[in-house]
Amino acid sequence: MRLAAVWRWHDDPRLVAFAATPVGRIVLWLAAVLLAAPEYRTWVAVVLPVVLARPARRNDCLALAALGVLYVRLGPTDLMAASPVRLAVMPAVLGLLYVVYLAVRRFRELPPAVRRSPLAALHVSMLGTLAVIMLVGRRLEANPGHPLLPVVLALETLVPFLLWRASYLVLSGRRGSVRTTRFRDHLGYLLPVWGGSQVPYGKGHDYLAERSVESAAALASVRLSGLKLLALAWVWTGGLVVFNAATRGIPAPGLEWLAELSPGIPSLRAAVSAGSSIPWLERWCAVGAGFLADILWLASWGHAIIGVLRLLGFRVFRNTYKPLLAPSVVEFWNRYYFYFKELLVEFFFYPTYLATSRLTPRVRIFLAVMASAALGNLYFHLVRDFDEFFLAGPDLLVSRLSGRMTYSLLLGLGVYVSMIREQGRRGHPAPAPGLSTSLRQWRARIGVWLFFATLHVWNVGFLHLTWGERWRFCLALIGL
Amino acid sequence: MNRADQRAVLLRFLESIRKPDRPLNDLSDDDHLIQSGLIDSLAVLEIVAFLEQEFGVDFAEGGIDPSRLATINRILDLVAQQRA
Repeated sequence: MRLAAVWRWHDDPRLVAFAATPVGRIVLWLAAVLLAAPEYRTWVAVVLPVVLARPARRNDCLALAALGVLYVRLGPTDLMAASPVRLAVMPAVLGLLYVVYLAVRRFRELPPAVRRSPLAALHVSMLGTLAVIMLVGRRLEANPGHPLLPVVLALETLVPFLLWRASYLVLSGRRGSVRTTRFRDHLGYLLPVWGGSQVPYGKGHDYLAERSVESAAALASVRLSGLKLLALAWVWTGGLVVFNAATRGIPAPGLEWLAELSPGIPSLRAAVSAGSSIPWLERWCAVGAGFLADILWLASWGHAIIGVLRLLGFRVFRNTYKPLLAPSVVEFWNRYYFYFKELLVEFFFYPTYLATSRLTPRVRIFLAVMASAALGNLYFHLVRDFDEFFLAGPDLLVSRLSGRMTYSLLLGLGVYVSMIREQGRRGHPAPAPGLSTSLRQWRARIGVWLFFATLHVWNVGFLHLTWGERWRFCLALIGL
Repeated sequence: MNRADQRAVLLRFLESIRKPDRPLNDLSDDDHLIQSGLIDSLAVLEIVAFLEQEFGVDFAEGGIDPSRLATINRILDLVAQQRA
């Protein structure tokens, strides 16, 4: 009980009361600047004090900061190197986003075909834009000194970054919630100071508005929990460095002695490439170490982002929450990479489920799971790594695509079977606590680890490993 | 069927999909169903299927908005809004 209270230090009433005072807010800001990941430190230093002082103007502040985010994303990261071309392109990008905003604001006036499939319409238009940008980019590459080239190359990464964020804007339009909002209310998550990948951490306007905290005490509490996540991000980053030194012998400052003691487990990519030429036990060690390292990395990366979101006053879910304790495949999927899973659920799972209302519940769930975990997953990666898939030639395309397809298919089947099993368990009384229950729980968890650890074989090194190498490695794992 | 009857029907359904270690009695009508641990986010689908069948709620126009299915009161509000 005492330990739990220490762990939840951010809920301590005295600390919360202090964090709500002006001095407390200054201390909070300094601690946040100290703890923020280097890539977010400048944003935290500049934006957080304004949000701390004027929480009611948070959206305006984030919208203003979004302009800075856009400027940085549109070119070389040197902020001091002012580029007129970048400044000229900014209104064009903002203008395109504004057009999307205006369209979804008048959602009911859109043509019926667009209203029926608004996300498809958005994706076709944005990916079409991307294709044009890439064509222009290829032509400009012949002239490396062209002032437009860096901007075009930056747009190639910006459009996929905006794609899923703009999808959340369209979702708000479909739900009707966008009608009461201003354009600037959306800029904060379209071009977020909390960064992230192409997966929108914190989703879109609806989720952030629902998770937005208003009262002084609640704000202080959620900010402290953000601080805790930033600290945890460093703990997991350090944990990963120690883990890599201990298992793979990767030296780090001060840990050379540990690296020397390491058994030298190969990376999963190297192990898959080596196939059956390395001992059976070493293969399994590579699988286990690769799986754990991946979780540590994801937890560290996600905490650094969600920590910033919470400091800004949004009580949003963690991206990674104790995945190793998940008792089922579907629960692991929920806890391991929450915002990616939410993306797949909101844009593929729910729409497929609704579109198949004439089928039986079990078939609807099967189709919805395969549409999200399998097809949606595949589509997301095809868009994200478009150039690696489609510009690498037909042989590499087939090799990369088949690996990713196998991963997506296996994940979809695993999630579906797990969902059906979970459904069967619901509504029943919990088993009595005891040794046998505890053993059953651990057996279930180990089964989940095995599933995801071996599935990771299909996810790792997609640029370098062939479909055949992966299959041979999987067979070698079971001694074949 | 008035709101109290709808609530009783809804509670019977939630009892059938709740997680084994999460009793429904501990939950108020404004508690978050997922955050409280009563159901997982994918069980939201089962609520959708139940609302479609039991109350004829049509999700086709606006899609599924999990926040409108987050608490017992919000679900009852959604049913009332659809029937209005």
